[in-house]
Amino acid sequence: MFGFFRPKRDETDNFELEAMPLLKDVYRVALWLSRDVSEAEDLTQETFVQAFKSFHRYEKGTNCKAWLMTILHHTNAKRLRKLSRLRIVEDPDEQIASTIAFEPPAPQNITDDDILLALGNLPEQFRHVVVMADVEDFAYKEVADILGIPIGTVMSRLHRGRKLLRIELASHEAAVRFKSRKISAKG
Amino acid sequence: MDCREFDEIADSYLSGELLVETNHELIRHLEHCADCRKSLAHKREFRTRLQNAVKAASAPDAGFAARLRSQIREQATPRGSRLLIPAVTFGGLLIAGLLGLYVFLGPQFTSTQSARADLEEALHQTGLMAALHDALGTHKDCGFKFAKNPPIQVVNDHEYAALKSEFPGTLELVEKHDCLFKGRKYSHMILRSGEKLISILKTASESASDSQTIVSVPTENLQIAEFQRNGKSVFVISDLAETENLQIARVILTGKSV
Repeated sequence: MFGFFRPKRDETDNFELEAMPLLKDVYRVALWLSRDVSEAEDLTQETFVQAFKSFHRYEKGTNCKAWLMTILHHTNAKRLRKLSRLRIVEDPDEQIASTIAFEPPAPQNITDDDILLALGNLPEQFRHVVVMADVEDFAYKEVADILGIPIGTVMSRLHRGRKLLRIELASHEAAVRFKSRKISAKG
Repeated sequence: MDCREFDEIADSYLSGELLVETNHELIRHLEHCADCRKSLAHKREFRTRLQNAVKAASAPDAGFAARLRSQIREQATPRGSRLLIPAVTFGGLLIAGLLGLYVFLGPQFTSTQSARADLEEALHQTGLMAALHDALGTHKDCGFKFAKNPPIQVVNDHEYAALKSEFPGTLELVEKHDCLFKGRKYSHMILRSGEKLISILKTASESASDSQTIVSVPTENLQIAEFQRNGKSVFVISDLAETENLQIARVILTGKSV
């Protein structure tokens, strides 16, 4: 009925106050990590169960969202290892960087669905940092701490991730323009 | 700074990640470069659209939070204690309420110290005191909710209005739901007064008669008041002072304060 499942009343109350309101944020990032609703629910659930078990280690007044995201990241890494899906790429940043020669403009004539599709098509490493920095508004240093990678890597992945996103959308935008020109020429 | 350099760092500028000097250089460049001003405006707008689009498209489904709470309980609780504590607590609530351990009659709620002492001793001896202490919790983490059924009324509109007007301080409705424990159905309403939480529970009564008397079960950390009406037992459980807890029970019973 009430909170009698829990060992300590204060801790349960604090978890409800500090962690539970961040459920939507954790789920959102989990969804963009896994690109699958049921995997996102599993990831979120595992993250919160872990967080609850180790809530005594959370320092009150610090950034609870960053703390939860760190747990989410570890949980996700574990999931990927389990699925043997962890692709080891020597230096994905450099490989993709060489394919980007120009700085595309920020796209304008696009729909929200175009944006979501393009984000979903980004390779995972880039998608992850773009979501963390540009959607969730974490500082570069926080992203580096959460993902356990050097800040330089965060910056280069972000740079390329944003660029890839714009290229994808710019080409989509151009395709739409081309199509609409064809239609008006016909008319 | 030229336009190419601006392009390289514009995103970091929007993220607030540049050093103060670099910020100044960038702003000086923007002052005399209309193209880069336009480009920055587009980048900023795009980032807002990206945030909004992702946030709008990535909400968990409606029942997820409730499922998650019960998963946390399920997985974070040692097996042995899962059923024991609620069983003891519910038993405690019912026994305490139904046996009528401590009786107040009418509007004059005087208490005798010996009756209270008897009650407390009984609670301690049966281990119910500790269980009731845990039961207070946040009043919110009910593991047996009927998510789909519309909640039955715990107090009617008239009683709720009387509660709001008679209670010293403000009362705010936190939640209302139905719950089930061992085949017994409860309606549960949670109110907040400042930092204090008040749970009002209603369940079918064991006794056929309407006693219309309020039984108060004061424990170390929470107050329980119970009365029976229309074949139902109504419990008021809170961490308020005893007099305030009784006042709530009284208003629900009579529809008015004294």
